[in-house]
Amino acid sequence: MAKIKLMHFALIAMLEDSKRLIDYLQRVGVTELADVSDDALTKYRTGPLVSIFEKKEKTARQAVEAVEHRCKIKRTLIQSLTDYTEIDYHQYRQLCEQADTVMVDCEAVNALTEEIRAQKAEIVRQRTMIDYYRPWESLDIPMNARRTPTTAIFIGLFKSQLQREDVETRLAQELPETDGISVEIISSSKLQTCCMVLCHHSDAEAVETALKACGFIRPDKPAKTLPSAAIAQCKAAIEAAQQEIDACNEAIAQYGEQYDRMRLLADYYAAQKEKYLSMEKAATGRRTLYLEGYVPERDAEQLKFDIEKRFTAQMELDAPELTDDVPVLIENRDFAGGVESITNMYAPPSNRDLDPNPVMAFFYYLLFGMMLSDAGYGILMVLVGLVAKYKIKVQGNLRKTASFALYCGVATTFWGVLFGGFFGNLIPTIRTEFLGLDEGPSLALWFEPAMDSIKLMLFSFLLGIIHLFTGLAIRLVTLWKQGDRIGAVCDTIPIYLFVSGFAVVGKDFIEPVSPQVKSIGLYLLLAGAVLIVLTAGRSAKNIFGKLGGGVYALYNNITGYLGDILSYSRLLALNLVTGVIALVVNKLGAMMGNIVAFIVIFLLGHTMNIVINLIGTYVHTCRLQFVEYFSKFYEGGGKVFTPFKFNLKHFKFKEDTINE
Amino acid sequence: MSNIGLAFALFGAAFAVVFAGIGSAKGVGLVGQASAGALSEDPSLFGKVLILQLLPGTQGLYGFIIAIFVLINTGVLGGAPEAGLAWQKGLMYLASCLPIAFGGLLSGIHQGKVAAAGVSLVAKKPDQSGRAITMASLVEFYAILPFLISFLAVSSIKGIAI
Repeated sequence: MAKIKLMHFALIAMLEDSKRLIDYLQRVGVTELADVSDDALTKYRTGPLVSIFEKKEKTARQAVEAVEHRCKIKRTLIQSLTDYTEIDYHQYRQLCEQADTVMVDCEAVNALTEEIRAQKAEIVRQRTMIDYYRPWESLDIPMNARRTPTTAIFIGLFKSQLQREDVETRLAQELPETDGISVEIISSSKLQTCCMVLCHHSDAEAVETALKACGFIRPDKPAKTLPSAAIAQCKAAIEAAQQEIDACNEAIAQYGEQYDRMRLLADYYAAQKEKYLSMEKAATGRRTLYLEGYVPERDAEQLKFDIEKRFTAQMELDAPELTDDVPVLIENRDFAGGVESITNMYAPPSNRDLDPNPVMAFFYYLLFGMMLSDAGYGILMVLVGLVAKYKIKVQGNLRKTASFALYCGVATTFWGVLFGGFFGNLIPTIRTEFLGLDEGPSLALWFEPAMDSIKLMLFSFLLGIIHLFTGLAIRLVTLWKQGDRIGAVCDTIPIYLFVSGFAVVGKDFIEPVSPQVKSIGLYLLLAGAVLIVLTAGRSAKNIFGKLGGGVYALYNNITGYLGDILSYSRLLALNLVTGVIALVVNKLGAMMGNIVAFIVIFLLGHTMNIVINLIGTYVHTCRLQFVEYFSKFYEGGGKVFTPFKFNLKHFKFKEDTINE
Repeated sequence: MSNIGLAFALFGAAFAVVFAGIGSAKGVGLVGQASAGALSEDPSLFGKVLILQLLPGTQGLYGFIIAIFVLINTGVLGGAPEAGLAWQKGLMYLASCLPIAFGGLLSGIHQGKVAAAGVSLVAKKPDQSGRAITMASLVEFYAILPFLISFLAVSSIKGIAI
């Protein structure tokens, strides 16, 4: 399993069959359509239809969400992971024929949701008004009152905190000769002082001018009634709006039994949209429909047979020339499938690449396990993976993630056993702190990293060199298959020699090796260097260019590979991080000296350690793959084969009904 | 004055935790702000953005581990503090802690900047999250190198005879 061979097809059918034919292709779901461009043929213009379906899908999804929310349809995490209903195709078609009636319901639900939103806004508005009237609450005349037969009334506010005397004093200063001005403070706060001023109506103008000079402002939205009555009115309005909301909620809840049909409707419109989008790729003559596209080789003959049997159609199959326009279909089983999404995150493989997933998967799990390397954490991951895969039976991409967790867990357990990590130093801690024994023998099958970190660092570099060499080997195979045999040999063999020699000499710096080995290393290093200088510049035109290119390549290889190999020291670093934090957690727990506190700290601390280190390990393993490994051979940039099919979110067709 | 060596060593541990921690705090903070902005547009990006936000957090962790190792090796943690720790050894611990202290400080801040830029990349093109993560993890390497040097140095001081 790796790269699946795709066949190119060209299909001519009668125009009157076009809808049925495209429906059929969508149902079978094994083809990807390619754009047909031929001046002699006409193209469908389905843009407007597509946007109509898009809108309808949105309407339906909104309604589904509203019903889900009001009817309190709750799903557990496990349910939402495997959340689809199986239906057969006939059921689907039947429901689709009632699409319009369900749509009416959806629109009704959306109208109700809209009404709820409006009423909620109304409540907010009324609350603001209540806050606005509140300072005036004790005023016992309407807020917009201006006069009585004999007096003028000024109701308004100052933008500061004032006492009655303050206002009176300031008015007296402005109008020393006017008498009989009455000031009443209605409310006063740090921000404003609300007051009412009364005077004889003959003095009205003078008082108004004086008040304005003191900073008096009339309220911009005075109530026509008593402020207290206005507040009561607002409260009544809020009550009414709340009742309206409750009524709407209840009305929406009535649609609870339509929930499944609404969900199907949303899926239906999504599928319709997809269909009409694909139609744009087809072309039509006066009476014929013309389609082109790709289909996996294993399905090709069957598809041709089925289509020619059902329709008046002719289907031609041929092997496509592998250009960049041809999509790439990668299929892997569990082991390699788990890392597909990581490869695609970098770039999906192109037609020039071999499928990198199987080899990369092995190294990914290996390096991941070495960085996390705790048997306890590994066993937990294995359990999560197993439960997700075989108990909950997650599907699709989640299934691949479950495989990923499973294999990473296996590798983590493997390294954990070698390095003696089980929830850090849980077992020695329990022995010494709770059982009163000695620490006991080392649990490590191999050695403990913290005791001999130089050894682990050298081992990390060795693992890195193996990883890089595998990448180079894939480059050799790829170039060889493409016919560039000189390139295949010249770009890899000298580097093998050079880096191997380099590694031996480097090891000698840290831990001396035997003189024979060292001299072999030196010869390898020299041979590699000479070969690189001689071959790497071969594309240049003259001898100076060739040599210059060679020397430059030698320099690049020295710095490049040195950096690449040193980069694997992160294997040691992350390995230590997990172990040491786990150790600190256990130590903190043991310091409490009581078993309950120990368990609490143990659970909290190790959960934190797992989360932080899972993310760190995931990221750093990705980086080793992307930067160090992929740069040796991988181009990427292919188009992923995305078959034209029903992308139903909540439903799944029963297998056997597809071909009816 | 007999404790001067221990004091130096504790200074070293404090340096490692504090400076690397500042680096991480600034870095994670920067990415957090960018993340909040990106999430306001599209909450479904949370998973991708969270990884980016956690990346500059490791520097603090590295500093913490070095400090723990100093505490263990000097006997402050789990045992009796080595009262007669020679001042030369104390200074050695202090010196060993400096790489992760300053490497962590600066790489944390810069990784935070790269990761924050990565968040805006992911906000526009969610399929590019792999590259955004890779770019940020390139900076990480310059926290790993000082961490390793600090670690190797701290773990070898105990064996030096003075």
